[in-house]
Amino acid sequence: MVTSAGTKDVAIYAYLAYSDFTDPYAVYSVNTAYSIDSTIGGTINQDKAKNGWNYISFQNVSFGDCSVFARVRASSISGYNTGADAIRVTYYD
Amino acid sequence: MRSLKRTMLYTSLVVCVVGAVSLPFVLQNKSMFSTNISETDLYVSDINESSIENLVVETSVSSIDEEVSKSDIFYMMLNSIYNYDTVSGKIVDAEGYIERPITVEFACDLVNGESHENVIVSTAVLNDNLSQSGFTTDEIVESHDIADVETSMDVFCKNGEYKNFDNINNQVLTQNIQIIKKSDVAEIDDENRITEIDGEKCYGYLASPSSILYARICTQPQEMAYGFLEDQSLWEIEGETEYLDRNCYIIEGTTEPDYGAKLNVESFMFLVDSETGMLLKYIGFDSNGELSDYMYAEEISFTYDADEVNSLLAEKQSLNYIEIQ
Repeated sequence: MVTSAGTKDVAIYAYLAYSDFTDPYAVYSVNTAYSIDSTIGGTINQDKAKNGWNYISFQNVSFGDCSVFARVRASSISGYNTGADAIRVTYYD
Repeated sequence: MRSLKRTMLYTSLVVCVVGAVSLPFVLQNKSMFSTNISETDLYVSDINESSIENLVVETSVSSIDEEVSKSDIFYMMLNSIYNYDTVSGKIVDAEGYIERPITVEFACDLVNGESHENVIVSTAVLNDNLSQSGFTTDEIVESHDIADVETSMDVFCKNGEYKNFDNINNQVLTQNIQIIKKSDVAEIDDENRITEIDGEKCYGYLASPSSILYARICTQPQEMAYGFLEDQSLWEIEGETEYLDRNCYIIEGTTEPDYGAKLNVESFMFLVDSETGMLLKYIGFDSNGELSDYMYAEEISFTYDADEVNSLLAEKQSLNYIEIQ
């Protein structure tokens, strides 16, 4: 996805349905593609959260003029499966 | 029937452990097995072994404040961050692995967006009697040694930087992040907490100020509130009790079938701090009445020692960990 430079309000939604996703410390974020800088969007306990959509963040974020992607970062603790059934990102100018 | 079973197990456990095994967790949760918790009960108060002097062996359960509703507690847990500015403490969290608890010592300043978490994951040996009965916790933590530690890390969020020090592999990951302060958190009205998207429920979560992560189950227990308490017909406020010098609501209930199946938890008990909505203790039992999950706070204080966090960070930085991407 490509977005123009500037600041935007961003809402991130995580969809959880698959019961094998159990990472208690999954971090969902929206990042600018050409920077290692990562804007932490929000976190959710994939094990304890209920199935369905989870609205996990609403922030004002600065973007460069580049592509933007959402991602899930796994926790640093073994034994859990991290996944993303779906992520929904809504931008507001 | 299960209550009777637990009562019997509990009684036998108390007999077994007097003078031998530290068992604060069991002793503190008499309410799970009491049929009349509106009474004030003194419990095993005559244990005189100095080794268990620090255990809470006296549990006072009082009647419910009638002005507190289930919705009050539900929303207080969801909105806990609005009830304190700083918090420090220590939790032990099984997160599904009762023999491999995660111990988190944490300190966070929500106003200034700073936090530190020390996270230890270690295997543990269950006491045989306890593992059979399903009631275990504190003694698990006591039973491991350093060789059992599989994860040890210090995580700092400060000055726009996230630093994760891996103490096992001597590596550090540094990222620039937008640390959220309490004042940055977008509010969600209670009536908009559960909405719908395309015909499916959507659960609204407040952001986590100071980016605290591993202690969230205690400090900001939103998943626990939605997961266990959304259906108010499945749980009851059973009374109030003191835990870690905090007044707590005792909640007992059963899980929704799908949710409980995912967690392997059919029934549960919460201790919810009555001033903040923080979750100070959670015990989950499977369909056989055996312990299957737990989390409990060992220490809690509503303070933040910035100097100590700075000192810990400086100490870690002086150790020349290898920078990783």
